[in-house]
Amino acid sequence: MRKTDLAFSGFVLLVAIGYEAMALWMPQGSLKFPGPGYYPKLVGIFLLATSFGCLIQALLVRRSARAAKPVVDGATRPMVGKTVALFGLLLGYGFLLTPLGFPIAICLFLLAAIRVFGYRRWTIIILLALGLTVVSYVTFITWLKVPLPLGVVGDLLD
Amino acid sequence: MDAFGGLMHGFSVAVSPMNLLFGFLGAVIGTIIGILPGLGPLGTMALLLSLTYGFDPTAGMIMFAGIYFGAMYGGSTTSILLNIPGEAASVVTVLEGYKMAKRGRAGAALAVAAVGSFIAGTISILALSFMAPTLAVAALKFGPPEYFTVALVGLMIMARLTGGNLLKALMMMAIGLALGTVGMETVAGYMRYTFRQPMLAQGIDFLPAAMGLFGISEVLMTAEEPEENVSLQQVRFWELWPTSEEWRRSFWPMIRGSFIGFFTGLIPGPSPVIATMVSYSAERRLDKTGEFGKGAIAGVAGPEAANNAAVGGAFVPLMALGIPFTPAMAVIMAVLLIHGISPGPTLISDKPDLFWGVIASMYIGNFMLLIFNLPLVGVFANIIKTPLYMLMPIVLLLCLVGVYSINNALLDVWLMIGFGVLGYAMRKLKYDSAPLVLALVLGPMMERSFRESMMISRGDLSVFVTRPICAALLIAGLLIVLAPPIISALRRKNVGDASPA
Repeated sequence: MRKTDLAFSGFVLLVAIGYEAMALWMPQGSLKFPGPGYYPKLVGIFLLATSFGCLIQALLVRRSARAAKPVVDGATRPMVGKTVALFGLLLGYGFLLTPLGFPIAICLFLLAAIRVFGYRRWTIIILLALGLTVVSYVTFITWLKVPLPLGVVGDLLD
Repeated sequence: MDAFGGLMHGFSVAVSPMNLLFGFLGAVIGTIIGILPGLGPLGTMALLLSLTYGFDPTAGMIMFAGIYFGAMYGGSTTSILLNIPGEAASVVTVLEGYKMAKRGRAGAALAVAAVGSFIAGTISILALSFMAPTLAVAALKFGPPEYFTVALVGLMIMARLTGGNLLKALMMMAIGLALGTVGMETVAGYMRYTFRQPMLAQGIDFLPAAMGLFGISEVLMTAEEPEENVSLQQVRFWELWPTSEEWRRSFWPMIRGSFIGFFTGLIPGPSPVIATMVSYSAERRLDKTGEFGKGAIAGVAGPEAANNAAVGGAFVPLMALGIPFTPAMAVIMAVLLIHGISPGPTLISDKPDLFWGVIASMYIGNFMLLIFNLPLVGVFANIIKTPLYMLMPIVLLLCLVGVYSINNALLDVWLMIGFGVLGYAMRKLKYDSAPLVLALVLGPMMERSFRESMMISRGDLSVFVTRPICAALLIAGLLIVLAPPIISALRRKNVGDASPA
């Protein structure tokens, strides 16, 4: 936790430095007539101060806290692999939405997501994914007229 | 129109079949998400926001108010029957409610929670009816310095009250403020932090941020936890009626909880959660039965009343000032904004149908919740058995479609995924997302009012302390933020002085 905390606040500090540098490049105006960069400059200082504070705080955490880390057994260990897989699926959906279109992209996404959440019977997985795709297509595209990209399905419908 | 006349007018708006239907839908959805752990009212409202494009704004507001109130009702069901709080605001109910269930008094606990919620809802809605118009009249005198101070103090209090580490909360607030500066600046049209991406010119919408930080991150967290089999305490309908002694012990806790909840709701921060904690500790202190910790009915009645009343209280700053003090209220405000309506002091006079209609519907919604929640408690409690492999993909589907439909833009999908990962990391590192989201919402308004204040005062920063409303707000804010650490430091010092050398 201490290391990740350090890394996170260090990362935010780096972002804060970049943010403040960019703010200082913007027209500042004066206190009477603040320019576009005036308020971001103040926000940048606040971000720098708080992220630096968090970094120092993380550095000051006693090493004893690390020693007292609870032992996690196999049954309760978090299954990080599932989270990584879901993150990959979300990225995949983002990349495939425009070329393949919503119906195919979401169907593939659902197939994989149901599987990631631990269901094993492929027949049911396929039926569930297809069912949800049809329901979402009718609800959002047909009924609510959300202009989701149709991709290859749109070409077929044309 | 006076408050009573307004409320009567509101009832005439609220009882239209369409508004009743939306109120009912909201109440049912709210109850269900209140029961399901994880997906809270904020995430649900954020992902349903896209649906309200096609609605009348009054209907949208009515549905969302129903969701918020319903979530408070639903959360108590699983707390009492399963020892699982469906909602953060129901965590305290577990302490006494589940112990009552183990003693065979689950029915009484559920009935008291439902009746308490109804009484609290009624009191808070009446208080809202009278307080919001008064505050709105006062708010007409607000200028840019007052708006800047309200937002600043609101954020400070939010950072203080979210619990956990103050420095971390302040850093989250700073990130939110920084994200709020992305896009085209409104005075000179200057592009800031857009990296030549035209899509970023309109700034970062808070909805992808809220959906990512609260919805996607919740799914990512749930994915890595082993699924648990839940065993449900059965309740029969005839067991729902508490004894006269239980009613007697619940009455005053409900009333106290209602007032604690309403006034806590006026304060920025996770008001329903704080209200339940304040109410529980108040009841525990006042208890003379010695039942606390063993299943005290006052420990269910007070907090359950408090969390519902806090919802009514949280509507006051939104309706009267146009400033949301919680992320959930920011989503409710978005319902109005997408229909071109700006909430604020003139909302009550400009849109009386909407304002009074929503208030009256809250009352009707509370009544609906009371009527259908008790008989259907068994049905609702069984919802928690829905397998994750069905529930979570549906949540993701709604998030992915909902976020796209806000601006019909793929950028929002990417932003939501990005915020989802950020939210996951933040949860792991014990950072609270709420200050970030609220700062993102309030940031542009703060900048605008800061710049206007400086132009009005010719660059005199003392404008934020010399104007009476600003000064009063700053003093109140500083007291709330600084009083707890000072008091605890003094206590420690006193204990240190008193202890023998």
